[in-house]
Amino acid sequence: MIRTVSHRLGGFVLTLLVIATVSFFLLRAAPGGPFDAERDVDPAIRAAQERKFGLDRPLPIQYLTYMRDLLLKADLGPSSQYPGMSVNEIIAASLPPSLVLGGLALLIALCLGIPLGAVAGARSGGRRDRAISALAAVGVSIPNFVLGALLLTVFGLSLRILPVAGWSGPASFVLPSVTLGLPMAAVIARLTRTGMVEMMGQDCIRTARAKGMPERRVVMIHALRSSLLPVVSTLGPAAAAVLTGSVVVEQIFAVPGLGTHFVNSALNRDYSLVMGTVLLYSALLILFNLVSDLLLAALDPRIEVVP
Amino acid sequence: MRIRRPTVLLSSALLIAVSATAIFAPALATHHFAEQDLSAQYLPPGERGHLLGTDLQGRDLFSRTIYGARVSLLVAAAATLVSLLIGVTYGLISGYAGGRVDSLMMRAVDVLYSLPFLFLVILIMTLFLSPRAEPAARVLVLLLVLGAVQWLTMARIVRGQVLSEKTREYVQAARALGVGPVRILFRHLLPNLTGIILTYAALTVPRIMLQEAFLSFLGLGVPEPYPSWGRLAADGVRAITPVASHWWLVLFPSLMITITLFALNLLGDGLARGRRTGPAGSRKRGI
Repeated sequence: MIRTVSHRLGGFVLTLLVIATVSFFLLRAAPGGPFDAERDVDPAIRAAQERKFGLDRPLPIQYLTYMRDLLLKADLGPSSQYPGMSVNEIIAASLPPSLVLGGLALLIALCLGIPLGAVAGARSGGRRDRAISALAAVGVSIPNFVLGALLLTVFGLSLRILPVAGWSGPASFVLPSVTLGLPMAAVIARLTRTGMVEMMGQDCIRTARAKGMPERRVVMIHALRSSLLPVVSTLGPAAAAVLTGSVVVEQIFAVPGLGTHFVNSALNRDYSLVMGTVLLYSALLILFNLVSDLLLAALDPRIEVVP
Repeated sequence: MRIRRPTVLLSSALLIAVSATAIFAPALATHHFAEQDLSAQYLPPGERGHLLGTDLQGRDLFSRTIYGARVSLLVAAAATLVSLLIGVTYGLISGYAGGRVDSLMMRAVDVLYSLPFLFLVILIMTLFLSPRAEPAARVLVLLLVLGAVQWLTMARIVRGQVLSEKTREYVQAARALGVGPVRILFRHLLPNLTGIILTYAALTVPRIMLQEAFLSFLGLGVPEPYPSWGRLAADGVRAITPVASHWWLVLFPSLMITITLFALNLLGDGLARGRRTGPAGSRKRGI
């Protein structure tokens, strides 16, 4: 177990290095530079700016300097878009809202998705199953920005019971995290339902029923536990969905998080900020995949963690 | 193949209606999709001959939504085709080769699964395509990139099928007759896999449509003045202000996206259930 985990962590570092390298050169290969938006700048000023960020040096040197700072000092460099701020500072300021948003969304998704899926799958074909399945099918078919706009218009602008933008206090957390969480709840409900339907046909369920076990216990103890396996195995992709989804949701609700920085910095060619956000997102994602694999192995002894 | 009739019929009917809208767009539309009328900004539905109202530039929303069917369906279909080509070929080769090649190829897929691909898509779309780039070039890159990101699950499914199918008699017979591997793969194995491939492709289309809408929202999807539903809805979301919601700009394109995605998901699920494999790929990793 410890060996496989350390193996995976080694792979984790390697993957991050590859991602850092690829995105570094991808960024530099792209047309345009960080100071292109400021037109008609005195060439001397332009040169001074480029020197400040080390952009006048040859590419391999830039790369080596970047990697050295990253690996030895965990320094992601200065931001060219926000003068005077380092990428570390920007990330430190914008990561907490994103983490809270993502965490709440995952929580909503799990707390809604699993019970609904279990109820639907416990009696497949029944009235409740059909209602929940239809709801879930609609849920996976709505783009999250549409849902966001809907919630924003209804609860923010018409009923005026929740703030429509910003990130100050629990009330402002509601709309963004619901927007991000609901579509995922639909995905999880569908997965749980499928697992549940499959389990309910198994022999062990029939045996449990034959023993005279109450139906509630059969469903809760026997069926649900095994049907959660596919849900756990999608936690990795679900984290990816939360992260990418948060890019959009943060824009709609003006949440000062990482997602907004990611898109803006790519548009403004703020090299070090793009690199910083990409690396952070990748690290979170790979970690989530690792955790979901470990959880899966813990829940199901038949599964071995791939080293 | 047992198919759950009502859902498959309903979704097919919906999809045929949407496709017909796309095909006959020029006949159905009342205006040209890019025609601006600055004296008719933000007209609500029904006013001055604009069935579904107009947007900021006074463009007719009804016509734009109808042309949007063309753009959205074409993008989704073409990107799915790209993902199909890559995924099926990869899966066929991996499954048929077997042994070390297979495990290496599948290991690569595992690694790729854990990469944040949508971020790569966003990076590529922002970095290499200035807004001034040729619209056709942008659309082409969009198709390739969206398709190139979605092939992993398809590769896994095809590979799994090939593994079991290649031990069957007809493959052995073909091999005994001296048929080459390429011919076996594409003439003998592939036809027997079309069912499952089409089923999964039906589930890939909505996924790609959703991603196109997502990219459009960030301003990275289909370029102006071409309307895709995702783009229209995204523009509508941006037009919401505390003073006026301009609800029609969000509602109608969103309804079209949701109905189409709903029909596609329903069809895919129905087909998958008909094959008695459960919603295809749902237990593989993939959202």
